[in-house]
Amino acid sequence: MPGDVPDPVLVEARRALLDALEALSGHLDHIVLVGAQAVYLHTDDVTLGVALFTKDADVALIPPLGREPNIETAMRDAGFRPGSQPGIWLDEDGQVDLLVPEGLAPAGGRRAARLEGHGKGVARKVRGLEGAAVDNEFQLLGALEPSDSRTVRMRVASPAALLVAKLHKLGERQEEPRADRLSDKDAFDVYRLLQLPRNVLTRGMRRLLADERSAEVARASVAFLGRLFGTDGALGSVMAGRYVEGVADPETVRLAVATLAQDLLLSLE
Amino acid sequence: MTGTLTDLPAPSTERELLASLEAILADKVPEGWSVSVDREPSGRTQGQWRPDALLVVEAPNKAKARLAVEVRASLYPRDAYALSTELGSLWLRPPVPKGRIPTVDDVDGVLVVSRFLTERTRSMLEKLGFSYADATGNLRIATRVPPLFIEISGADANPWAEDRPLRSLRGPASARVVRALLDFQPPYPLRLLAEMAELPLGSASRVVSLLVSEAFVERTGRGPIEGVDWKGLLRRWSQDYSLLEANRSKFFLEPRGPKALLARLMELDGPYAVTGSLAASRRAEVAPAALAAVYVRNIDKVASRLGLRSAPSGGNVVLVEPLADVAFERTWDQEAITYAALPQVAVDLMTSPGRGPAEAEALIEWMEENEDAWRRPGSRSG
Repeated sequence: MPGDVPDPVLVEARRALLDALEALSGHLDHIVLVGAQAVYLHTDDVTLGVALFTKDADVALIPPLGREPNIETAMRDAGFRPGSQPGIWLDEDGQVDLLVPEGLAPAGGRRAARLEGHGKGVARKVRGLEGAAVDNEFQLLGALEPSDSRTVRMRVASPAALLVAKLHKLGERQEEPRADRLSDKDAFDVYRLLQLPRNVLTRGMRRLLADERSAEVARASVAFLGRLFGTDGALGSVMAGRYVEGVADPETVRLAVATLAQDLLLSLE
Repeated sequence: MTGTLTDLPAPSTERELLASLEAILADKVPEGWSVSVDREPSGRTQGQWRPDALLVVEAPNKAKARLAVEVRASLYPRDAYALSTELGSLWLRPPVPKGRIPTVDDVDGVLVVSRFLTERTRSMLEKLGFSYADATGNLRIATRVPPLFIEISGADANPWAEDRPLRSLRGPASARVVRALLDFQPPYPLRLLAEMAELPLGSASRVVSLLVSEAFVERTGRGPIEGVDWKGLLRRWSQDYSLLEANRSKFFLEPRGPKALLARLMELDGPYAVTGSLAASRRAEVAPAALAAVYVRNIDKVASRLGLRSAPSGGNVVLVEPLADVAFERTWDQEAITYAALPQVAVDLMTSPGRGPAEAEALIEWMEENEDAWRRPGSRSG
């Protein structure tokens, strides 16, 4: 929240993001910030009394990417090492996930994206990020620690694109039978996004539904929204409520997220 | 007659009430009758009960009746029955059952003396066979044996209604006086306090009497109010007042959160005042509000104007119709939003669920360090 000292974990996550962007600056026009850091950029003044928290930086790479700079070399030179799964890059205190929207990825590979001219495991394919390629806008991002004066102008996925991505993450996890507490945060992020002015979300969703690159995932996410958040007793609503247990009234969050989901669904009909 | 009574202090002790009985008898009893009051009756009655006084009435025909006098500072209709159970066996009540004699020798009836007896109380006492007198001049003496009857009318309305001692700070008048005492820094005379509280002097006086007796307000005799223990007074008020119980309130859901509601309050035509966490957070360090509490004049109108959805549980907005309009008074504005006076905010938080009481403490701490920012000297412009 403005004026608050940010969580040190959040500071590290932003620092890692800026390090990775510096390394990949040659690809900057094909890079879109997604994930929690993007969500917080849009919802900063949606004060909820629930701490912002993310330890990683999710970055979407939108093909086709040029061959230079080589992603693997650049990331390693910047001090990152590959993690346990494709697309995960770690340094001492931070993690950057390089992700490629599945629908836009070159053919081949199961989880790893086959980006021509780059190493096999540099990025991971993720379904639901397609909207980030369609609906984004440039924003100026700075470091969160006073001693770090770096700023980067980069593309940030729109709230609607982020909503689609979060709903896919939740919807797919729910299909794998694993609605664990880790996902509660994602459900709460959906609530954060749904609190944005309805016309912002409606306009963005219409754009995603109309663009062939993102239409399919956008349609699927609308279905997820209805199924996961359509009522205060639906799984996503319950998860969002569970996330605030002890800090706020879970019932309020359940009712509120369901109300907002219904409003959005209605305006999309 | 009653016009002059109101200016006199209400008789309340036994001695004062007996004196007023004597005065009324001397003034009102018709010529030819004689009355005498024995304030220290010797034990003429049986059992535990000793009358407060004994009244002897003698008619012009020399018929004489003796009445035991029972003094009550106040007497309500419901008390008449209790009195009858307590004292009814002491004398013969109408109709006189044949062959029965009065239970107590030398007592022909009981006369109840009080400050004021309402018409209903009087008629109940009459039915139960009591004689009565009150300090406004209502008098009825009726005995069967010997047959005596005097009835004189006094006041129909209680001239000292406001002097009934107050026991709680529950009502709207209390809210007005307490708020004035908190909002305005003494010293000031009671009369000015009443003006600032927009109350009749008598009403303000009752609340002040209670607070003086409980040592939250410093006042010597009838002098000016010299000091107010404002923190103690807030706590005392919170014992009798509660945001959600003293006022009419209803919960709603603002799905974008309490703060989102604030921006929309500007759409309202009527007065409103934000209280609770949202108001406290403007002054003290408190966590973001989980509940928006707003005073409004008409809950239903405002809810429909703002498009709020009713949420009996899980709501994050509560609209409150205040028990006293003072909730809308001496408010302050910040960024085009109107907030309730800080003492009001404090007592509302003290009596709110969840984090309310803790937030009240934080606010009170701020109020302590910044007394000049929220308290002003008493003045007519109020």
